[in-house]
Amino acid sequence: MLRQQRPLWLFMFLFWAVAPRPGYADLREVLSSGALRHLGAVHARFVTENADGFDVELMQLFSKHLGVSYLYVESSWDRFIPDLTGCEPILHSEGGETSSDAPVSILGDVAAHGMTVLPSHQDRVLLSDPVFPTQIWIMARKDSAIRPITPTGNIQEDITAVKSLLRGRTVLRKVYGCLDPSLYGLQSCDVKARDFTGSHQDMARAMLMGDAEAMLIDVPDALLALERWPHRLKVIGPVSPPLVMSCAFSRNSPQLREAFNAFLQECRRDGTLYRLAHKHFPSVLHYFPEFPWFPRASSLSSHGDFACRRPAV
Amino acid sequence: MTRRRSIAIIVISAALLGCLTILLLANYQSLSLLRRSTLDMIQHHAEKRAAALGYFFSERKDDLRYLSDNIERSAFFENQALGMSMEYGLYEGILAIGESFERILERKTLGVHHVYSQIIFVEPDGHPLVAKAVDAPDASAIPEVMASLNPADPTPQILVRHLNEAVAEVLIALAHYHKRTYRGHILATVSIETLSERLFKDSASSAGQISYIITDQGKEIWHTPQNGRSLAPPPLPAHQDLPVARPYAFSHTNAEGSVECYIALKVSIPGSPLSVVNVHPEAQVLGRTEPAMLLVVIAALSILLFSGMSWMIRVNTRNQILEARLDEDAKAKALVEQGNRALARENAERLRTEAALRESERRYRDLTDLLPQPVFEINAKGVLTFANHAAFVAFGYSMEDLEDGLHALQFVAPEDRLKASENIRRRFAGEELPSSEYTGQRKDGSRFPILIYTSPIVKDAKPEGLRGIIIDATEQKRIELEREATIDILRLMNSNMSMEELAQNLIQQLAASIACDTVRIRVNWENACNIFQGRDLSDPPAFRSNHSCHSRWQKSPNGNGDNGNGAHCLCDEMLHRYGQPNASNPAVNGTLCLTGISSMFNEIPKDEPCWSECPHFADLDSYESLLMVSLKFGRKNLGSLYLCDRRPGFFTGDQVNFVERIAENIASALAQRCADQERNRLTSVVDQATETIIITDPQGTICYVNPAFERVTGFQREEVLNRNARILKSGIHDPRFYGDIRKTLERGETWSGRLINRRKDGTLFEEEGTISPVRDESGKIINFVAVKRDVTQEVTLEKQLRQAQKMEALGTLAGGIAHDFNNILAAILGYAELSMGKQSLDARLQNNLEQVVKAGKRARDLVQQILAFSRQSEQERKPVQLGSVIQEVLTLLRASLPTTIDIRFKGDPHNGLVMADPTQIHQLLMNLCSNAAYAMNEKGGSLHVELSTNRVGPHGFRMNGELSPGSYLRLTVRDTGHGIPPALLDRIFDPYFTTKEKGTGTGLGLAVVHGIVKSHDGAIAVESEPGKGTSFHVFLPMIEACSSSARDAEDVPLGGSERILLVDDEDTLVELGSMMLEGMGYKVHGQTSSVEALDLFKQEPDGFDLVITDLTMPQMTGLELARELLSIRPNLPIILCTGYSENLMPQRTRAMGVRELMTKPFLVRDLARTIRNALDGPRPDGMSEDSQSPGTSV
Repeated sequence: MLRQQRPLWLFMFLFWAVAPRPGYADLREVLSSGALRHLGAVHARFVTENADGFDVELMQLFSKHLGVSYLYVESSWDRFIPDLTGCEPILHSEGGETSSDAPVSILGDVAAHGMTVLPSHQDRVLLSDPVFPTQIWIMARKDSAIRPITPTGNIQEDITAVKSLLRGRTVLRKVYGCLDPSLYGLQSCDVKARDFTGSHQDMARAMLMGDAEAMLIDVPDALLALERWPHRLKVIGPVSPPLVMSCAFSRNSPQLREAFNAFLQECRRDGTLYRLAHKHFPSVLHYFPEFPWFPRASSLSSHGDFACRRPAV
Repeated sequence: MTRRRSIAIIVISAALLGCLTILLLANYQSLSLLRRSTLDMIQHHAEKRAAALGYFFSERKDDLRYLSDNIERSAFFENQALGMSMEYGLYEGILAIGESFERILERKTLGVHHVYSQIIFVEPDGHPLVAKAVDAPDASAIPEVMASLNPADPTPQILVRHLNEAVAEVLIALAHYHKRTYRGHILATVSIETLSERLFKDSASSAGQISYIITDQGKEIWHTPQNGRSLAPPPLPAHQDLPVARPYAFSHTNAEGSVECYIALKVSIPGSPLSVVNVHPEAQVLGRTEPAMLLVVIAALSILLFSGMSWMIRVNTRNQILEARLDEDAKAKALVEQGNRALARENAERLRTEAALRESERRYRDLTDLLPQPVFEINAKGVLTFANHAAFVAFGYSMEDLEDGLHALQFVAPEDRLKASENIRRRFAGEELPSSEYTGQRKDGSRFPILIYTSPIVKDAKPEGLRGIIIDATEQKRIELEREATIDILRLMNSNMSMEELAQNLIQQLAASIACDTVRIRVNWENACNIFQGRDLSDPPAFRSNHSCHSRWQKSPNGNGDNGNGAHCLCDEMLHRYGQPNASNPAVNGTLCLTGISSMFNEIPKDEPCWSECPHFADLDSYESLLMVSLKFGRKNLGSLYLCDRRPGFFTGDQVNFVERIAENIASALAQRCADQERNRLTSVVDQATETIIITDPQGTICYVNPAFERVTGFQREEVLNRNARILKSGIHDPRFYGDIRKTLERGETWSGRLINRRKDGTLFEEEGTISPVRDESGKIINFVAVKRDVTQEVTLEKQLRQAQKMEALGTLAGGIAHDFNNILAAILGYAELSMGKQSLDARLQNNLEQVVKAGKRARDLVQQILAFSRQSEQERKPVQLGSVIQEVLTLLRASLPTTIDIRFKGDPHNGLVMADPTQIHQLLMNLCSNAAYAMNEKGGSLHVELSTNRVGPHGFRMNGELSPGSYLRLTVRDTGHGIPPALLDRIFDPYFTTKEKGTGTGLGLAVVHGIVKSHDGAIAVESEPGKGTSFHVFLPMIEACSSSARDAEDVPLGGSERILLVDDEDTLVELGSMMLEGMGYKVHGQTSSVEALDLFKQEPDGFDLVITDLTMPQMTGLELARELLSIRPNLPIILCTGYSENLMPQRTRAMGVRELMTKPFLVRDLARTIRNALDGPRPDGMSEDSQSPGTSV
C-alpha cells in the first residue's frame, strides 16, 4: 500500500521538509532552552500513570547528560507524533496516513514510551538506536481451547504454529500500531479480528471480560498482564520475530538524536541500560538475552536481528 | 517471788531455745530450698534455650510454608500445566519464585547474620529449579539430602548434615504440591553456628556453664565456645545415661588430675530431632557445706541450755511451797470478818422493808380514795374487806357498815345476785371473765346499771379474795340508745320512701326514742308546708295534709296558702310569724324560726295571749310540755320538729340535745334529698334536650355530653369523655377562627355562632350555638358549656335555594337570548330553504345551502336544549321518550367534552316512555354524564349510556330504594375513569359530599340525581371499581305507550290556496314568510304592525282564512291581536309564532282560541304542516293534549 502511494508520500515529505515550522527543537535549541521535553504515553512500565518508569528514568538521565532540566509532557498514542512533529496525520480508509497542512503545536523534543519501531514511524520521525527489545505474542484466556505451542527453537516455525492455532478464533487487536494483525500477516489466517479502542493496558481486561478469545500483545504488556492476572491468562506463542523499541525525534532534530544515541551507547557501556531494564522488566533480560544490553561491535537494525532463546534459570 | 522468778527463767530459756531452733531450722530449710531452686533454675534455663530453639525452628517452618504459598501464587506450575513454555511467558513464574526466595534470604536475619545461607527449590528429579543464596548457591548437598526427603510428608522436616566431625548444618525441607501432585522440595539451609552463638551468647561460660546441642542419636553438633578457659570442656556422659529434663550428676578427672563434679541437664528441642544439654560445675552452683552439720551443732547447744535451766527451776519450786502455806492462813481470817459484816447489813435491810410496806399501804388507800369509780376487795366468803370512798358514795354505805360486815351481793339488785354469786365462784375457781353487767342497788334501794371488773387476790398460789372496780354505766347506756336511734333515723332518711312514708316512720321512731305523746314534723317540701303528726303512740301516725296552715297563709304577707278550714295549729303560728318577727310568738320571740334555736316548755303558760291564738294546739290536746326544734341546714330552714307531752316537765336537757342532734341529721338528709331532686330534674332536662350540650374543663377536655350529642355526632359518651373537644374539628375553619373562640371564652364572654364539625363517621355537619364559661364561687372559670343545634339540613336547603335562584336567573337570561337568536335563525333557515328550491342552482351551490340548513338546525336544537336545561317551570310530568332526552344531552355534552372522551349510546331511542318531568330527567342525565366525564378528564376514556327495559317481579326488588312490581326503563351511565373507593360509595349521594377539588364541585350533583329518581318512584344503584370505572343504573317506571296521534307528516298536504294574513314586526321575517307561503300556493298579505293588521282585518273580517302572527311585537302583542281577531271572528284559525317566551302556556293560548303554536326558527315543512293542522284540524275547544301538532312539539 505504501508503495502504491509513494508519489503522494514523496510530495508530502518534500512539502513537510521545506515548510517552515515553529517549535522545532534540535540539540542547540534544547541546550539553549535549558529543558528537555519528554513526550510520553502510559505504556507498561515504560511510562506509568505516576510519570515514572524505564523511559522516564532514561530521559531524566539523558537530560542530566545534556545538562538541562527534565520536563515530562503527557501525550497519547494517537497524539505523540503530531505533538513531536507539529503535523496532524490524516488517516485513510485504506489504512495509510498523510500529514495535514494545518500546523499544530510541537509539545516535546523526544517521544519515548516503549514505542515499537514500525515502518510507518520511520517515515515520519527520526528513530534512535534500539533501546529495548520486544516481540508480539498471542495471549489467550486460561479457559481458551487454544493451547500454547511447544517452542521449536526456530522463531519462524513457532510463528507458523501460532498462526495455525488462530484459524477461526476471535482476536482482539488495535489498528494503527504494533498490535495491528495485518503487520504480521494474520489477515490471511482466517482470524476474526475484533478492534479494541481502549488503551494498551486495558486490552487484557477486555479479553478476560469476554470481548475476544485471544489478543495480540507486546512482550512488556504481556509480562505485566501475567503478573497482574496470574492464573487467568496464558501465552500461546509469537506472531512476530523479535522487534525493538526506540525513541522518536522530530525529523528536524538529527543532532539531538545523535546526542541520544551517543548517550545510549554510554549507558550500554556503563551498564545503566541493563540496570534499568533489570529494574523495570527483570525477566525480559532472560527472554531477550541477545539484545545488546552491553556494547557490541556491530549495531542493530531497527527491526532487530537478535534471536530469541530459552532463558537461563 | 521466787516462784515468779523461776517461771521467768523457764519462759526466757524456752524462748531462747525456741528462737535458736527456729533459726537453725530456717537456715537448714533455706539452704535446701536454695539448692533445689538452683537446680530448678538450671533446668528452667535449659528448657528456655530449648524452647527458643524450638520457636526458631517453628518460624523457619512457617517461612517454608510461606514460600510454598508464594510458589503457588506465582502460577508457575499452573502455567506449566497449561503448556506455556519458558521462551514465552513461563519464566515469569520462575522469576516470582526466585524473588520470594530472595526476599526471605534478605529479611530473615539474626543480628547482622542471615538466618538462611541458601534456599533451593529441587524438582523431584533432583534438579534445582530455583536456587538463591546469600553468597553463591551450593547444590552439592542436594544428592545427599534427597535420600532423606519424604515426598509424602506435607509437614516441614529438619535435617542435620554433618559437613565434617566438627561442623554441621541444619536443613529445613518442605515438600511442595500443585493440585495434589508432588512438584519438589524447598530446601533452606540454616547456619547452626550463627544460630547457637546468637541464642547462647548471653549465658556462655557465665557460671562455668557449658551448653551442647546434640542430635537424637547423641551426636554433638555444637557446644559453647570455651573462651578464656584453659581446660577442654568435660565430655558428655553416654547418651542413654542422660535423662531428659532431670539433673544428672557426674564427675570428670581433668587434665591436671583433679576430679571435678558436674551437673548435666538435657532438654529436647520441640519439633526437631535435636536436644540442648547444659553442664554446670557442682561446686559453683551448689556450694561446699552440707545443711545437716548445722543441725548437730544446734542439738549440742540445746542440751547444755536445758541442764542449766532445770537446776534453777528446782530451787525456785521449794521457795514457792513455803509462801503458799502462809497465804492460806491469811485467807481464812478474812472470811470470818466478812460473814459478820453481812449479818449486820441484812438486819438493817429488814427494818427498812417493814417501814416501806406500811407507807405503801397508806399510799394505796389514799390513791383508791381519789378514784371516781368504786373500788373494793372481798375475801373468800364474799365479805367486803376494803372499799374506797367512791364506793361508799355510790352505794350510800359508810365505813361503819363495812366494819359491821358488808357482803358483796348487797351492792347488786336481787334479780342479779344469783348471776353475781356464780361469777364470784367462777372467778375464785380461776376462770378469766370479762366485765359483768348488773343492775346496781344502793343502800336506799335505788338502782342504776353498773359494770364490775374483778381480779383475784392470790397468796401462795391460792386465791384469797377478789379485788374489783365498779363502773356506773348509766351514761354509756344512754349514748347507746341515742346512737341506735340516730342510726335508725338516718337509715330512714336515706331510704327511697316518699315524704309521707318517711315522715310517718320518723314520727314513730322519734316517739319511740323520746317516749312522748305526740310528735309533729313540719316540712317545706315541693313549695308546700306539710304537717305530719303522730297523735298517739298507740295509734298509727296520722297524716294531716296542710291541715289548717293555709288559712293563715292566705292572709299572710307571703301570700302563700290555700282555702283551708281555718283551724289553728302551732305550725301555722310559726309560719304566720315568720314574716313578722316583732309579733308575739310562743317560741320565745320567734327564735325558733328566725334563729333556729330550740325552745322547750315544760309547763306551757296557756294564759299568755300568744298561746290563746293557738287554741287548737293548747286546748284540744291539753299538752303541758312542748319541745320545738328547727330543721335547719346551713341558713335554710327546712321545717320543724314538735314534741308534745301531757306531763309537765317531761323534757330534760339530754332529751333536748338528743332531739337537736337528730334534727341536724334529718335536716341534712332533707337538704340532700332536695338537692337530689333538683339535680334529677336538671339532668332530665339536659338529657331530653334536642340541642347538643357539651361541658369541658378549661383545657377543653370533655367532661359531659348529653344524649343529643351522641345522636348528632355518632360518638358514644364513653368515647369522648376525657378527650379533647378538638376530636370534633372538621379542618374547615382556619386556626384563627378557633383562636377567636378561645379568646372570647378566656375573656369570660359567651361565644355564639356557627361552626362546622366532623362526625364519628367523618361526615361534616354544621352547628349553631353558644359556648359559655362556667365559674365557681370565687369567679374562676372551671368549665365551658356548649349548647348547639344541628343546622346542617337548614344550610343544605339554603344552598339549594341559592342554586335554584341561580338556575332561574340563567333560564331568564337564556330565554332572552333565545328569542332574538331564534329570529335570526329563522331568517337564515328560511332563506336557505327557499333558495334550495330554486331549479337554477347548480349542484355545488345546492350542497352549500344544504350545509347551511343543517348547521341552522343544529343551532336551533342547541338553543332548545339550553332552554330545556335552564327551564325553571313547575314540575310538569308528562310522557317522556327517555331516548330522545338522552340524545339531546349527549349532543349537548359532545360540544363541551374533550375529544379524548368517546361518547357512545346503546339502546333504542324510541324504546319506552316514562312519566317524568323532562327538565328533571335532563338534569339527571347531565349530572351523571358530567360526573362520568370528570372522572375521565385526565386520561380520557369512554362514556357509555345504555337504555334497556327491566321487569320487577311480584315481590318487588330492594335496591337503593324499593322498586314495586312492574316494568322499568333502566338507564345506565358507565365510564372508564378512576372509579370510586369502596369506603366512599355509601356517601356519594349525601349533599355536599364531593371528592372534587375545592371550587370545582358543589357536592350536590348526585344528591339532586338521587332526589329526582326518588321523586319519580325510581331507584338508583352504583357499581364502581377503583381504577376501572363507575356505572350508575337508574330505574324509572315505564308507562304504556300512548296512542300516538302524531300524524305522519307525509300524509299532510303541504300546500294550499287559502288567504293568509302574516304579521311580524321584523321586515325580514315577513318577507321570508310571504315567500315561503306563496311558494306553497297560499295568498299572503304581510303586515309588520299588529295594529295595522287588526285594522285591516276589521275592514274585511272574512278576507283571510288564516292569521299567522308573531308573539312579541311592539304596541300590541300577538296574544292581544289574537284576542281581538277572535272577538271579531271567533272561528278564525290563528297560528302564534314565537322566538321564545317562557310565559307562553300552550293550554292557555289554546283555550283562548289559538289553533297552533310555532317556535322559531322553523322549517318550511314544519310551517306547511302546522298551517294545514290549523286549517283542517278541529277547533281549539275540541282539541286534546295529545293532539299536539308538530309545531308545538318543538
